[in-house]
Amino acid sequence: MNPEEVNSKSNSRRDFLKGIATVGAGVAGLSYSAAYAGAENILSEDRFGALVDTTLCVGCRHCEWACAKAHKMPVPEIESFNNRKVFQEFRRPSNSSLTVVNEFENPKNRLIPINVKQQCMHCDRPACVSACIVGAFSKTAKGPVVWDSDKCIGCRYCMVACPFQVPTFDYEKAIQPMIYKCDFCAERQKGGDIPACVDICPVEAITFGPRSELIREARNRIKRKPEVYLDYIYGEYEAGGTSWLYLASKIFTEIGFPKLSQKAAPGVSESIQHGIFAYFIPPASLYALLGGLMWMSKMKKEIDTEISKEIEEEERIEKIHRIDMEGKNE
Amino acid sequence: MRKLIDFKKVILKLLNNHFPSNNKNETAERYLIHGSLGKISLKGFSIICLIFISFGIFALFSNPLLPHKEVKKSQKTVAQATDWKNIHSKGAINCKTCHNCEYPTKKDPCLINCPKNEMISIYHAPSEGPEIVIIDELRERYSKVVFSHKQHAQMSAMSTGCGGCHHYNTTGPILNCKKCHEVARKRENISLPDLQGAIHRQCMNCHRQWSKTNSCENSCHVPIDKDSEARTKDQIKRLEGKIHPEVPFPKRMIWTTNYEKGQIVTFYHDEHSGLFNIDCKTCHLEDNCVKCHNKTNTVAKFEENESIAVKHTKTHEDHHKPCGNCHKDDKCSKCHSKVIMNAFDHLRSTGWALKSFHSDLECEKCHVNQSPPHKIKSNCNSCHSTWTLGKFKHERTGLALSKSHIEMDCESCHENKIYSDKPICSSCHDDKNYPKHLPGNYISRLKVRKVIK
Amino acid sequence: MNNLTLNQISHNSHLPSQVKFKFFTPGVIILCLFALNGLVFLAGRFLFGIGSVTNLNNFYPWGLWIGVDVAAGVALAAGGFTSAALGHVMHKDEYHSIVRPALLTALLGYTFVACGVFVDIGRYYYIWHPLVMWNGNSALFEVGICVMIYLTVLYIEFLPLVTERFMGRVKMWGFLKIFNPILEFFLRLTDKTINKVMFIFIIAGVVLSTLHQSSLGTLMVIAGDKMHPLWQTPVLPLLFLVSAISVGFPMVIFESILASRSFKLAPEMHVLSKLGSMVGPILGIYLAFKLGDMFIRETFVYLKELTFPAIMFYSEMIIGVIVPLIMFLNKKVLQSSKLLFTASSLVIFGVLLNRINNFITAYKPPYAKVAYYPSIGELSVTIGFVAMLVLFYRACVMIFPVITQNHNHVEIAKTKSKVIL
Repeated sequence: MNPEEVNSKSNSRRDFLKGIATVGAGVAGLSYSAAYAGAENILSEDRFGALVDTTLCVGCRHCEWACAKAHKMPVPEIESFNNRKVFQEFRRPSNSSLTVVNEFENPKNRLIPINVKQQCMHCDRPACVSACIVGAFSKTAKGPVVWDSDKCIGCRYCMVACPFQVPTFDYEKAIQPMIYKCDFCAERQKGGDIPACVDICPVEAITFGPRSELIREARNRIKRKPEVYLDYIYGEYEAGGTSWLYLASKIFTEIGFPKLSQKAAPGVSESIQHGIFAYFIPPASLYALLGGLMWMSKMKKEIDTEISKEIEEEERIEKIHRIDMEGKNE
Repeated sequence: MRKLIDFKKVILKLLNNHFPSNNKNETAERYLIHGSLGKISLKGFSIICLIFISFGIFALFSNPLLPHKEVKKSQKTVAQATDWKNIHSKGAINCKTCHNCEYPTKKDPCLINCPKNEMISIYHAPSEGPEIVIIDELRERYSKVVFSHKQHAQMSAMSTGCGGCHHYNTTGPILNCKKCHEVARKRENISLPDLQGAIHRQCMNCHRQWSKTNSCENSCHVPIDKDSEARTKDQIKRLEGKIHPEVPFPKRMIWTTNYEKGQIVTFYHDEHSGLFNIDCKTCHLEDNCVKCHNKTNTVAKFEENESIAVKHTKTHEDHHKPCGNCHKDDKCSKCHSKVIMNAFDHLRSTGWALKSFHSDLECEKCHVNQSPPHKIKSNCNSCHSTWTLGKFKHERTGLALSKSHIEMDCESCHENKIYSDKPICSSCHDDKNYPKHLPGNYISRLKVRKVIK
Repeated sequence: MNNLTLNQISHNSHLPSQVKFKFFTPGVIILCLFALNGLVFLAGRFLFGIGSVTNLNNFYPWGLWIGVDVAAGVALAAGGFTSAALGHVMHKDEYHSIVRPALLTALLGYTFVACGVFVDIGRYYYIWHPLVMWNGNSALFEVGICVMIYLTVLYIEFLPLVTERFMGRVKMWGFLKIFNPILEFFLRLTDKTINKVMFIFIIAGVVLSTLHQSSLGTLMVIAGDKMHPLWQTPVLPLLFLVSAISVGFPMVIFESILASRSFKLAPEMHVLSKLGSMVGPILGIYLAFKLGDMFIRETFVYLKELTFPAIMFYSEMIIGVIVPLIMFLNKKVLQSSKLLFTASSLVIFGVLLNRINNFITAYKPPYAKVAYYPSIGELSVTIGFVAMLVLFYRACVMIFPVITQNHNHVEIAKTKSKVIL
C-alpha cells in the first residue's frame, strides 16, 4: 500500500463527495446534447420524394449521365451511354456513378426487359444518420439525406449500417477520401430545381413530388393497371419508409431490392443507446455504486489495519517490556 | 427536455379530457354563444327562427347543386344549344365520366384527367387518319419529326387499336397531347406525365433498340442545320403512300405444355384469322410491336409447324386469356391433346359435312351473327326457301335428276319437305333404295357452278 | 522518497519493480521483424490509400482491422478494468500484484486500438472530430468517446508508476539539462496530488469500460438483416460486456504466466489460481446468456446444417466457452500453471473468435459477389501491431515498476544490471 494513500485518509471522504459531485455536474451537462441529439422528428409533412415506375423505364441511362454532370463528376459523352452492353453485369451505385440502371429479364415479354434505376433511397429514418460517429449525415426536413464532407472521418460505419448498401468509399485515395452517395440533388432542390435525373428522364419514369402525393399516385396506377403492376409500393414502409418509392411488374427481390422489414433501421440500436444513456442515469448510478463500494471496502480495510496495528503495537510494547525485563534480569 | 415535452402532452391530454375540444378558445366561444342565447327572449328567438326558415326555403329553391331534376333540365338546354346532343348521346356516356364541373362550357370544358382504362376510345380505320404527322414541338433546336402515322395505325389495328396511343379519344377531333399533358416537368399535378414523358412513352414503348448509330440525335431529334428542310421533304416523300406490309403469320403452331392429360396444343392460325375471321386485336390486344419486330428490326419469320415450348413464367390465366375470348366454356380437351390435332373439319366437329359448294360459303352465311359459330337451328329451307317446283334446278345439289324424276313433286321423295333426311323411293318404287339407286346422275362440281351461274 | 522506494524494492518482495533482463532475445528479434513488416504495409496504406493494402470494398467496409485490432483488442484489454475493480474498488490487497501488469496491458492494448482506428479510418487526420462533433445516437460515437476518455484515464492511472520510477532521478543529457528541475517539479506535483484524486479515475475507468465494452456490441445491431441471425441480437451489448468481463482475468493469467516464463520468474500461482476460480462462474453466466438468447430467438435452426457460419459458431462456443468453462471449474487446472495457461488461452481464443465472427463472419451484405477475406497487408499490419504491443510491454516492464518479483530474482537481476551498467 502506498504511504500517501494512508496519509490522505482524513481527506478521503470529502474528496470523494467532491469528485462525485463534479462528475455528476459534467454528466448533466452532457446529457442533453449527447443522448438525444437528432432523436426528434424533423420530417416535414410535405417532404419530397421520387416515384420510380420500373415498368416505364426504358434503360437509356441518361439519368446516370445527368447525375454525374450535376455533381461535377468526370463523365463521358452522353452518346456512350447508349451502349447496352453494360447491362450484362449487375451494377451498384459507385464512386463514379451515384445512380445506376440495371436490366432484368421480363417474364411477361422477353423482348422488353425491365430496367431499374437504383440510388440512395433517402430513408425517413436513415441508418447512416443514426450511425455516423460525427453526424456527417443528416436527413433534411424536405427529404434528402445529405453527407457533409467537412465532418466525415472516413470510418465507413454508414456503409455497415445502410440496409440498402448504398454509400461507397474512395479506397484508393490516401488523403481526403470521400463517401459517395446520391444526395437527391439537395443543392438543386434548394434552388427550386428538380433533381437532375428526374429532369432528364425522357419518359418521366421518375416522378418528383411530395411523398404523400406520390403514394396516392402510385396506388392509382396500380388500381388502373392491376394486370401490369404488383400491388406493392417498395419504399412505402421498407426500413421505416423511404423518400424514393418504386413500382414494378416483377417481384422486387428479383429486380435487385433487398427484402427488408418495416422497422426503421436504427430503431433497435438507438433504443439500446438511449437505454444505456437515459439522462446519463445508468452510468452515473454505476459510478456512484462503485464509489460507494470502494469507500466501504476502504473503510473496512482501514479498520482492519488499525486493529492489526494496535495488536502489533501492543506486541511491540510487550516485546520491549520483555527485552527490558530480560536486560534487567541480566 | 423530452420529459418536459411528455409532461406537456400529459397536461394537454388531461385538458382535452376535461374539455372535449382541442382549442381552448373554441371552448370559450361555445360558452359565450350559450350565454347569449340564454339572454335572448322568446320573441327574439322566434324572429330568428323565422329568418332561418325563410332563408332555408330560399336556399332550397335557388341552390343549383342539390336537386337532380333541375340539373338534368339545364343540361339538356345546354346540349341543345350547342348541338352536342348527338355526339354525347352515343355510347351512353355519363357527363361525369369526362367533366368534373356541373356546367361545362366551350371555354372551360373542365375535363377530368381520365385514367386510361376508363377512357373512351372510338375506333377508326387506319385509312381514316392522316398518312403523315409532322411533330414540330422543339422547332428551335431540332428539325421536324416526320411520323408515319398510317403505318403505325396499321400496326396498331393489329394490336392495341387507336387507343394504344390516343388513349383519350372521344368523338370529334383528336385531342392534342398538350391539352392534358403539361410542358413543365416541375408541376403541381403529378397524376399525369408531362408532355415530354407522355410523348416519349408512346414512342419508346417500342423504339428501344437504340445504339450509338441509332440514338436520339439521329432518330427523331436531329439538330437543326441547313439541310433540315431538305431532309424533311425527303422523308415525307419516302413515306408517302407507304403502307405497312402484310403481316405473315404461321399456318399452325404447336405448343408443348405442362398439362399432363394433353401436352400438345395445336393452333391453326390461318383458320382463326381466315376461316373464322377473328380480328387480330381479339388476341393480340396486349402485344407489343417487338412481338413481330425483334431486336434487329427484321420481321420475325414463321416456319410452318413451328413448335414452341411454353414459357413457364406466364401464369395460367395469361396463357389462356386470348383463347378464352371464344373458348371459355370449352373443355381442356378441346385444345389439349396427346397428338397433333387436325385442322378444322365441319363433319368431325358437327357431324354434318360441308358437302359440295357449302364449303365455299363463308361461315357467317349460315352462322349469322354468331361469334364463335355454334350449332344452328336451321335446315336447308331456311336458306333455300325460295325454291319451288320448276324453279329449282336439282343440279345444284350435284345430282342431275333423270327426265322421269324432274316432273315429280319434291315431297314425292323428300318426305314432309325435310331435305336433310334421306330421300325415299318407296312412294313409287318397291325395290329401290337411296343411295344405292339414284334418281339421276352425279355431276361434277364445275358443272354445278355453271348451273348456278 | 527515492530511498524509500529503493528500500521497498530491496526489502519488500510484495512491491513491484522494474525487471532487469536483456531486451533482445531471438524471439524478440523475430517480433521486431514482424513489426517491421507491418510498418511497411502501413506505409503503403498511408501513401496509396486503404484499398492498396486491404481487401475491403464497398460491400465489406470493415474487415480484420476493425474486427481484430479494434473489437478484439478492446475485449482483450478488459483485464485492466476487471482487475482494477477487484484490486482498487474492492480493495482486495492480495490481487495488487496483478493490477499493474493488467493496467499496462490495458494501456498498451488501448493505445494499439487507437492506432488501429487511426489506420483504419479514411481520414485519420480528422480522428479528433468526435470530440467536437457529437452524435448521441451513434454507438460508434459512444465507443469512440469512451475509448478516448478511458485511454486518458489509463495514462493517468499509470502516472504513479512514472513518478515512482523517475522522481529524484531525472537526469537528461546535453542541453536538455535545463528542463531537469522543471520536470522534477512536475513529477513531485503529480505525486502529491495524484493519489488524492486517483479514485475518481479508477472508478471512471471501470464505468467507461462497461459502457464501451457493451456499446461495441451495439455497433453491429444497426446492421440488422445484414448480419447472420446466429449473432445478430438486440442483447449483443450485454453479451459483449459479459464476454469482455469473462476474458479479463484469463488475459491477466495468460500474460502473467507468459511474462514470468519469458523473464524466467516463478509464476505467481497463489494469485493466479484465485483469479482463475472466478473465471468459471463468469463464463457460466456468459454461456447462459448466449444459450438463452439462442433459444428465445430460435436461432438453433441455423446450426442444423454444417455451414461455414455454423462451424464458426460451434468452434466459438465449444472451444472458446464450454471447454475452458469445464477446465476452470476443475481444481487441478487451477493449481497447474500449464493447464491454467491453456484454459486462459482458450477463453482468449473464444473471445477473439467471437469478435471476428461478429464483425466478419456474420456480416453478409447484400449484393456482395465475393465474400471478404483478409489480405496479406491486413494480416501483416495486425500481426505487426501485436508484435509491437509485445515489444512495448517488454520495454515498459523493464523501465517501470510493473511486475512484482520474488526476492531472490531481484537480487540476481540487480547483480546482472550492475554488470551491464
